[in-house]
Amino acid sequence: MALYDPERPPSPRRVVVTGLGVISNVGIGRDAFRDAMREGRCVVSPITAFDTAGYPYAHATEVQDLGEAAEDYAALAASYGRSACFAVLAARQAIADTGIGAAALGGLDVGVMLGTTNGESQVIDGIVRRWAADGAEAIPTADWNNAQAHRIAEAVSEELDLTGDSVTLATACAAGNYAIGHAADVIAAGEADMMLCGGVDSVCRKTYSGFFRLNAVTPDRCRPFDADRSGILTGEGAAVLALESLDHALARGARIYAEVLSYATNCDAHHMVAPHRDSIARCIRAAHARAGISPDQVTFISAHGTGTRTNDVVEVGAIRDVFGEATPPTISIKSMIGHTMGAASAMSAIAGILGMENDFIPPTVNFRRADPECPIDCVPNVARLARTSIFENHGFAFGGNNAILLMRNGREVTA
Amino acid sequence: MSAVRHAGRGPAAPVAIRRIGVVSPLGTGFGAFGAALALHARSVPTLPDDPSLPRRAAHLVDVDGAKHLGAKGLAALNRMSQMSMIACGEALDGERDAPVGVVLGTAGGSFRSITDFVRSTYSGPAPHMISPMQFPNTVMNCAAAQCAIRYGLTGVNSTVCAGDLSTLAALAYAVRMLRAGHGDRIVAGGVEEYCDFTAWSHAANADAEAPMGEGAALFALGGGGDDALGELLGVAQRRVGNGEAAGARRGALVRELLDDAGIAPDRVAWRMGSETADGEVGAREQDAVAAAGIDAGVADLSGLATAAVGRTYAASFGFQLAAALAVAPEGVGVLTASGPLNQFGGALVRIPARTRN
Repeated sequence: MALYDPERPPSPRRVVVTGLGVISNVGIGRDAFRDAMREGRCVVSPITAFDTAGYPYAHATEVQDLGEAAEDYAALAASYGRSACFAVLAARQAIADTGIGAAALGGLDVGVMLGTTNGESQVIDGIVRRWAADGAEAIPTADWNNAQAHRIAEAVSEELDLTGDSVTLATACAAGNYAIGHAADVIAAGEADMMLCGGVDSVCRKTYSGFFRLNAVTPDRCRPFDADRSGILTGEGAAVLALESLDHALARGARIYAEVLSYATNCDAHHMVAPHRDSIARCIRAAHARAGISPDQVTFISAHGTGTRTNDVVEVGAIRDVFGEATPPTISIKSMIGHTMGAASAMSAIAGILGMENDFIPPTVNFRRADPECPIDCVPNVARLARTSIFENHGFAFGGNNAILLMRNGREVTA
Repeated sequence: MSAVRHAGRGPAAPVAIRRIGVVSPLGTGFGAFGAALALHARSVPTLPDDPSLPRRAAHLVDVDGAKHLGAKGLAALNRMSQMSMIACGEALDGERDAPVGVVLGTAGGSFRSITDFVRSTYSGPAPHMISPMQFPNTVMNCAAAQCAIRYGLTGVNSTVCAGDLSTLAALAYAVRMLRAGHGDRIVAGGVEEYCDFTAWSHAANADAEAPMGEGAALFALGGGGDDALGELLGVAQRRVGNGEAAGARRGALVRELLDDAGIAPDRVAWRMGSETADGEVGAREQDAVAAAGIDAGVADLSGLATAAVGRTYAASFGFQLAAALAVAPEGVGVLTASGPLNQFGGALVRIPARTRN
């Protein structure tokens, strides 16, 4: 028996986004993040997460101002690592945003699926330092346990007292899209009433050192698609989306931000670090096919757009392979929030959703000079007012893990 | 518990388990693993002679990368990737350059590579004067990606972390991807690597007395063919919480697995808990199976994998399933597994009639 018959899809359930939560360097919470995306806010600061002695330069897009969430963060930090704290804060926002009260939430089957690149990398760094100084036996059991990647999703389940599936996806810098896409599969399959999904990461010494060694960290600002680009800024934060079925959302009169039209994922099977143009193009085409749309229906793309020459040229090439001359506006919010690793594509998903809802396309800031190798409209420096219908969200990762997500504007979602 | 699951649809389609790849303390290959289990043979745990490691016996794998993967490029591959690749190769059985997927369960990638790399930022002349070749080894999806690169697998490629239930969660992920049409063949399973970090990490927790183990177990899922070793009828995990409600949720999960597959409780011929019922975890799992209406007298294979290869944490459900496929009687069986953080999961498996040599 065939497992899957395209003529008879396994479930007619459509999946919608009904809650958003964001912890970012440019704003805490949905509204602050929306305003930052519209204003093109970019915040870069000296690194405080680890000792930066010995690096030629050390700046990043750290979350340094938690605002009203600072107290809650401090309370959580007594039990969890930084990534789990960010995830819990963003998840609480997302649940509050759905308008579901605590009583109703307790009656629902809610799962958690969060993507990450580094997991609790700051906890691991702390263990390594303590180990060297005092020996392994001096390390608290809680630190060993917090170092496990699944603690991130687990923390959200625990703090919100949820009893669904609880999984952390470690597909590196595409993990946010992986998590959102798979959570949508869970809803479509009827395995949960609601999923909290997205991505999270923390700035850490390991990743900063690694990208620095690859000459991929810019001493400047992050300038995706710019002829003078010189690399990434490592960033951090969390982006969590609440997903439920369209029927469930309509029945409770929920605000519908967007519909998850489709996602596709594949693997380059080519190189651990270098992206692959043909493979990315295949992934984009697969996402279009699963959604049943043609390229001309995509109104803008939120690119992986790291601001390295390798990524930008390969990604724009793949986009043009699929879209031809009629390539839609293609932006990179990494110009504003840096490369938030496992959170990146989830941040990008929320930026795109808020842009669709509020009739703007977020800009690619820090843009000065067009790169002839990247012939696209990157919405330079200033957000564009535009009514948009479908946006395409890109996430690529080390290991050749690609994931493409397609979302429809919530105002155009009809039963 | 939700009533939405599979509402209005018939039983979910079974997923064929076509082949198995195993790298374990019992040797390389599912054959070596299965033969040892059939003979009730166990790997012998050894106490590490390195004074920097905790005094806890461990079942270790002799990873012969050069023999199974060839010497070329081996130096760039960490031990976790090598174990995964060898097991993946066996599960693929010669298949190459195809849109096959890889879904790997792990506690968080190679803690050995990650901590060695972080240490190197402190020990060198400057924190960024480190080995660029080792950087990809520190990314948690490295082993799954290396499997894809080695065998040319361009399908779904994912890395799933759910603590001790990582392999179970990886199988659930893979089954969902197959049923949602993201591919028609996926090699899914899990890997655990013994190293100083994992040894101390697990020694810090209460179960430090039982020997640790390590290895990889991967299953070629999907596709057709009459030669399947078994069928995965369903697999699921959830956070069940504490107390009485947790007991009810565990029973409900097993019941849901049966309902989704359209299997009546009296059709279950055997069960396999992660531990024997004389301990707390095993007793809880036994209760969950009973609560789902399964007869207490069915064949009980609980604890078999742990006895044979030790506690393998993120890979444990892989060895549990491999053990079931090696020695379980014909018919439908239920596997259960528990994680330390109120996690519970299970799978429903059908073993075909087979001739034993």
